[in-house]
Amino acid sequence: MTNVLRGPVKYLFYIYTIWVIGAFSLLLTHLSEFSPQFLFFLKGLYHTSCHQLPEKTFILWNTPLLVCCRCLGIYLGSLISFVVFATFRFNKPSIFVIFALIVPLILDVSRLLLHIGGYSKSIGFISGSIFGVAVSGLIYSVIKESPNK
Amino acid sequence: MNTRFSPALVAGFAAAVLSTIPFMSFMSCCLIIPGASILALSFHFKIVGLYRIKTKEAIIIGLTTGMFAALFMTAFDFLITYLTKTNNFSQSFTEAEKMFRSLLLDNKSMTPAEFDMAMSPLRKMVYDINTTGLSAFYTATIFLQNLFGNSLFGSLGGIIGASLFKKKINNINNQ
Repeated sequence: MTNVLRGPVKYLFYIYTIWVIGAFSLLLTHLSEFSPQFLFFLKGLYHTSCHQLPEKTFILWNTPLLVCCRCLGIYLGSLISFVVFATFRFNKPSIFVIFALIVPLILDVSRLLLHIGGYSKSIGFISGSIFGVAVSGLIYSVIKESPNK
Repeated sequence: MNTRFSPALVAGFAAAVLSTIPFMSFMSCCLIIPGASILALSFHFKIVGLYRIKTKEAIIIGLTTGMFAALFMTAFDFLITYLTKTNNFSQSFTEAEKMFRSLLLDNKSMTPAEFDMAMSPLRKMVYDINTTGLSAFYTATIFLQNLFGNSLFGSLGGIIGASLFKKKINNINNQ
């Protein structure tokens, strides 16, 4: 892991990890007092990347997460797979594998745009996770091959 | 201007323009910002020619693209809010207030009186937007949100962009 995480990549990885964990931050309202201004800031922060529609968002302990199921899948899939790639020093994935991993998300979005069936949180989460693996595969291949990390 | 900053400026501006389209706005971090970083990288290669770029350099180009996009997005949001005296926040405030109420009151982390008092700055913000179209608190908050989100996704877009140009660069190096 340490041979991949060097220089700015290391800091970017830490910030991204905080971003992913932050998607669960509303759960902390059960434990401590949050000001509405801070909630507004958090909600707006994640709104820059996600529509946050309540019907498309996982609800844990009666508390909605800050991103929809698909975005959560992308975040968790990319973070976990990057850690796995870097820890076990995988070879860089081929472009065909990466393309194959993007297909489920394209199919799910196309299905929804064509009104074939309704939105499914689990399908959104799974297709997002698989897409996340593809994104981290792309990022990992660059970092691994970079002349000077 | 520096060959890293002028492509980032152009791509950041393009991303900000795209994000003003209502349907596109929620995709700004998911697709538009990383896309703008890739565009900035392609402009950079057009200016200096293709070469094997360092990850650090790709991140810097992506980061600056995200920062410029945040700046322009905030400026556009400010302008549109000033002209129309409404925005997404003021329109969805009632729903947001309902959500905050259920989160903070149902979890018993606040009393109703404390909640009302804590909500007053946000209510004032909505009032300011609806009456004058100007709210310094709102603009500052939006800028910070855009800056953080766009910088992160712009940097990631920079790395993804480097991977997309990798094959082309390898082909040139092999010739």
